[in-house]
Amino acid sequence: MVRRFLVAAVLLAAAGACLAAREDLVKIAPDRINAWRAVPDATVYARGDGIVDIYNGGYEVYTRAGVTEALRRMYAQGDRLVEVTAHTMTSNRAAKAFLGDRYRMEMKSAPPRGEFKRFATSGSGTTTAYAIEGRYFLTVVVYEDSAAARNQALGFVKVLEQNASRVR
Amino acid sequence: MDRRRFLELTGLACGGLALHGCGRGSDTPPGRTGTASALAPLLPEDVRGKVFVGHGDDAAACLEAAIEASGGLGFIPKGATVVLKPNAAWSRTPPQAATTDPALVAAMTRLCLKHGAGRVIVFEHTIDRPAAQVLAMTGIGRAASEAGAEVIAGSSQSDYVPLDVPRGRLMKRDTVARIVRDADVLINMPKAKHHSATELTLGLKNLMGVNWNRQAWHTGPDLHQYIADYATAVPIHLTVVDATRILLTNGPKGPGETADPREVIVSRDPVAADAYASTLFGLKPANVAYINRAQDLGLGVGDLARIEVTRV
Repeated sequence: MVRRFLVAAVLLAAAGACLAAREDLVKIAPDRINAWRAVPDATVYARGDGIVDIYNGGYEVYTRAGVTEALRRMYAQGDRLVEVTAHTMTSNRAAKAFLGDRYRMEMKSAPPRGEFKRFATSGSGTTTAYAIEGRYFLTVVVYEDSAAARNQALGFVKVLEQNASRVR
Repeated sequence: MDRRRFLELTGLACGGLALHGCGRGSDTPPGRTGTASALAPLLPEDVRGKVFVGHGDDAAACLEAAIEASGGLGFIPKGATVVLKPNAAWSRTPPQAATTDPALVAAMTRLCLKHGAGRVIVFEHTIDRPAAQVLAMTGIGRAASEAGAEVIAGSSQSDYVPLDVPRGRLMKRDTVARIVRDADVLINMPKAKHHSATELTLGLKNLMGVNWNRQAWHTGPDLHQYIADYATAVPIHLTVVDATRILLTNGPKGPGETADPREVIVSRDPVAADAYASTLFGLKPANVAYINRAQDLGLGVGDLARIEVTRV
């Protein structure tokens, strides 16, 4: 009886921790960001190997880098869409290292020295902004590659950073 | 042998195996799959290793030229139900090169209908969701519908049925979309692109989108073997690789770097199609393990020296 109680308590605690973790990510990427609204039924939350639900075959790149959970949301304003992914990583250091990896991959050069928190890249009809805040790694994808899209992506990611700074 | 007959036979062949722990991860030794060897060869000898490449700015024209050079669509019976399986898994737009060019899907639909197909179905098990949005963003939903196809996203587990894989070395059982099982012809229309887990995703890997539980493949012991094994049980009648624009990095979803080979690759041999497509990335077929595994299983020719490429 005691054993069953302990198992149930552990399971409840784990479920509680999972819900709390998801809640933190939802605070970073809430239902509304300025005039943008989350698209119904497009939200995916995943932990551990479940991150395959978000990245499919690419998921191991993320789990190996230290991503422990992720929330993917799509935001719409009229017929424009923005894709947001908030990742929780094992540590601030892991988040910073992953941002550096992404920079090297996208920009084909070493990341800037010193305080380096975000960058954006464009091409092939896409603008992507990457950022970190504490142990959160944040990405924003805008489906255009114009200067306006770049500003939009960076503006979006700054809002996510601010939200993340409140849940650190 | 038609598609239904093939699937019936594979089912019969695995009937006995089910009594002996038939399933993914079964420890049945390779080559010891009972009556599986009694199955007729799937790929006619005269199409093995033959690849046709259309090159140019107009994807639809490239496709038509390559299909004509390959001998046409004579393998589609009049009134047949044809399933087209593009890559429409992601919420990505055509320029991002993570999904099949909608112009190609539309062109393939028109060709099938013109050839006498009774019904053309474009099927995908989207990864991003909701499926309606994914099909809208890729442009495939609208393009295929306007060309006369039905567009179906298999978003529910009830859309899939058990599939025996008697010729598989590692996989012995999985699932397949009911629509694919019941079709007369399957035309596989992958996007050629980088994939962080398998180096490239091409035609053989695109079949992952007709099964239900992709995660099990990714978290299993050998994704490449699963991909090859699965193709032994889901016959592909024609492969059309979209290499008009290819994704070079950060696949399978991107965004990433792209290049524009402006090629449409057509082959009845699914292994040869993938082998040739790998060269567009500066790779050899041996760099993509599932190509060799599929060749080992007799699904086609993966050795470039034995592949005959006709450019049109």
